[in-house]
Amino acid sequence: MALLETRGLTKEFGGLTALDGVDIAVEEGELVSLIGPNGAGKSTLINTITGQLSPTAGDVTYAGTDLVGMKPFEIAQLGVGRSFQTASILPELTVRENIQVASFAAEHGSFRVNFLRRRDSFDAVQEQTNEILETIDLDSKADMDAQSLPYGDKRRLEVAIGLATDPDLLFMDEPTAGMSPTETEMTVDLIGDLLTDWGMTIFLVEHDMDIVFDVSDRIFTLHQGQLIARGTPEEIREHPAVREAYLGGGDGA
Amino acid sequence: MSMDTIRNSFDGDSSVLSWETWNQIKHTERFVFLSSVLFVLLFSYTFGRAPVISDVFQGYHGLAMTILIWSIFALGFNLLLGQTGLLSFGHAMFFGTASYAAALFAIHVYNEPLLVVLVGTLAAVTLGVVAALILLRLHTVYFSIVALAIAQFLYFLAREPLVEVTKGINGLDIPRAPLLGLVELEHEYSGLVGTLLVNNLYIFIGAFFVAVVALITRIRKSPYGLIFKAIRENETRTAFVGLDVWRYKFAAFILSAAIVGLAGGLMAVNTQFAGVERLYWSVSGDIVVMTVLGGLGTLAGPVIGTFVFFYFKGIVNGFPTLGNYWLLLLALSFTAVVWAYPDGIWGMLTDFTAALRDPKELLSNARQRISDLVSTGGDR
Amino acid sequence: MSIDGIVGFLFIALSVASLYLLVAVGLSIVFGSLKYVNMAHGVLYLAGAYIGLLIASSEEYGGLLGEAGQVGLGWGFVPALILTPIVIFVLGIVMERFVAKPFYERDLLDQLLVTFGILIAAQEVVAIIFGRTGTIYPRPEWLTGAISLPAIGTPPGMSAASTIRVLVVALTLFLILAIFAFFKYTDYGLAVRAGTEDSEMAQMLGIRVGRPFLLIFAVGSAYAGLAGVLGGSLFNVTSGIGMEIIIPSLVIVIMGGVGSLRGTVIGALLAGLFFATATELVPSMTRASIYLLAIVVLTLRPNGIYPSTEIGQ
Repeated sequence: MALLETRGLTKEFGGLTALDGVDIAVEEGELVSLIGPNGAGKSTLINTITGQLSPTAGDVTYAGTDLVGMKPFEIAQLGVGRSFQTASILPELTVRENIQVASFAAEHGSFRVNFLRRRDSFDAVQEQTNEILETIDLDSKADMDAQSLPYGDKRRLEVAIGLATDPDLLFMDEPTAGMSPTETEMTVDLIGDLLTDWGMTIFLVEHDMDIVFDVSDRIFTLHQGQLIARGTPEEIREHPAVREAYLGGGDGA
Repeated sequence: MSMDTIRNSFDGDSSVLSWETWNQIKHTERFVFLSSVLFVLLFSYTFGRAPVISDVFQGYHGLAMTILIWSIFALGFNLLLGQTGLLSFGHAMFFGTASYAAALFAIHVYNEPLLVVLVGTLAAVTLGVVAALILLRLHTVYFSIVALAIAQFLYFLAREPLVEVTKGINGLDIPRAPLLGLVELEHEYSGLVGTLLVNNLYIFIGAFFVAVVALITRIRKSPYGLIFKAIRENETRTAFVGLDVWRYKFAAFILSAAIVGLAGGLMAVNTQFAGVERLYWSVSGDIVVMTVLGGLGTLAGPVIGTFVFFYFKGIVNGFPTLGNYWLLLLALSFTAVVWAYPDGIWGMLTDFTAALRDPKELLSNARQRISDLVSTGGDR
Repeated sequence: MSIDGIVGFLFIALSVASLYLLVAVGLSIVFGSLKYVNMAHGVLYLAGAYIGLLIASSEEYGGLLGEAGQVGLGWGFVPALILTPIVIFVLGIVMERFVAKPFYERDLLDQLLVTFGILIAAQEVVAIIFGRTGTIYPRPEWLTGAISLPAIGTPPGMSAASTIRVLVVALTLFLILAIFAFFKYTDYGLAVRAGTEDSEMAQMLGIRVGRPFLLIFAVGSAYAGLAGVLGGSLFNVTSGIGMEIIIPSLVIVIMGGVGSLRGTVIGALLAGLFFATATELVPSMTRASIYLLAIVVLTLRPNGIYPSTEIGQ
């Protein structure tokens, strides 16, 4: 059984159909990418799966659990993590604290009465936070305010927060947007590590076609709210509907 | 960092008596606790009776107790606004309700100060649960204004329809009762204790002040302290890492209500009175002014803000000529702080002392601030 | 209930609703279109009441004016009714430029705090200048008693409705219709509406903080100033009335649904009805009634009666 599955997922805003009967299935341990031109409904799809929007029709199941009607924090607690497109960090907290918040959520669930216990006595949380700081190479900047980080670092912190929730399935919304070539390369390496070393399943939304074709096991193509193609990178590259709708007829992206 | 390691580093080398060591010490719980004890020990004396200094302040003992109680109120309010980012414009509801509950319990059931304060706190918590169910569905300004509406509703309710219970604008008088049936609160000490603390009532209130400071310090150092700040910064993101934002806001709201309720109960014991004006919007407004003026989100800020407020209200008010302008001066300072210096008086003090250590940074900060003002002034 | 009773009841309800509405309408438009919450709107009501008083009559005041003897022009009620809104219109322009505009991009809570500070400061200025005791408007003879028409005398039932209340209701009705017409038929009105419904689009077109908004801000101010004169003659005038009027007005705007003028009108009418009903049935609940109403409405509908925009969500 697939780890994540949507059936006939539809979302309408007023008269506008943003998602039109989308069926996708993501297997455990694979990296799938979602591509499509601007306004194709990519963000709506992620928002609908992760509980920010409720679908007009259709089902979403994760590891056999029906996600429709669940709140974002409940879905996150099931093991569905998310990093946002625009760096959605906590600006006035330090880098370490940003990651710690997510680590607490991973360590002790959505709510716990522990306001009389000191943070630094939660060893597991501290350990996980340090591990992620190292993984994402932000340990030298751990005590800086998040808002004072350079742009590329903010994006990496964004990914780090997603990681710290200790997800089994991680949605990454354009993780390399606005990054320098070096940073992009680091992020691509990181994605590889997450798959192999951390055993995660990754759902990537990305504009950079080189990255998409390079790292994906499978690719979904969304166009005007409909899924027009799915398959391996080779299949997608040659798919006539994709070339027509997205790659602009032949010369790639 | 434990006190032992600090002490060791003191013994070792005099150069470790650096700003860095100080920065670590001042954030330890023990330091905060000892500071608050010291503050209570010296406050009334410095403010009211110390030679030379007290002449400057022209203060007195009763005002010192009022300031301690309102500081508890401000600390409780700050937990919600400064830590969690929820601006309640109706916190008088907890102060006033707790005061009434304390007075009614003392008059009709049993008059023992500790129990009376506890009843006040519980009444505020109960009201907090009901109010939270209404308010936590609302955001930003909606939250603020509806909180104000609830407080105003309770004010007018207490004033007329419930006049049988509350005695309307006359209020309720509470006889003075001994603590635990043994200790007279108005017993005055002689000697050093008398010089510093005067009477048991001050010790009673001061002990609660220290306890509240310790409680809030602990909350700030617990996971809650971090999660409250995260909610203040970005509620959506906090939900997406898997935290139940509603429940944490609920917790912040109830903790805040409890601390404010404690202040309300203490106020009833202190003044031997509970009245409808403690529910009025101006009480909610005053606590906003004190907390923001002193410095949001810090421990010292709300206490300093309370002191400044009451210094103006209780003392500047009595000055010839200038006295007439006390509230205007306060309102203008408050407006100026929100407008240009959101960190408040405490923020100014810490910035200033930090700058004294590093004059270069002071200069660059000042330049930055001026250029910010010029540029934002231009395109806004 | 007799016909006199019913008419009297209706005019109490409508006149209270009218006063709230005249203040709330400016608040509502500015909150809805500019996403600016303005407690200092109460300053305009306060200023309206005192400026109107200075125009209408000549009185002895306390405060700094205590030594000055009789102060005021003493021109009577009608000049005050006409001139005050004009003065407050100008004050509104000043407020938009120097108070509101620097805060359009700031946090809603900062706006609330800063305008609260300004309102308290303004009330203190008034208290210092005019003293802290209240004053009442001298009512001209034709405004006292019940309405009477030359041809038919007092219309049936009208003996219960005082002339001042009829005047308040009629003026408000006219002014609210004028606002709706402004939005429907004028270019400026359309520009403001476009900005309200799609501020991003309006921003792209460059009309967001432009002249239409300045105009609507000033018009809303003038309405609040007029309400000050009318409220001053219905109730009393003290330095604290700015806050006293702004609390229920803000509550009404939020109850109606921010960004919906229709919601504000319905909210004000409901508040007036509740007020009159309480006066009739449970007089002690009169002043608590509007808050009870708001709590019930917002518990059932957290986004107000007409939820059109979701600010801060």
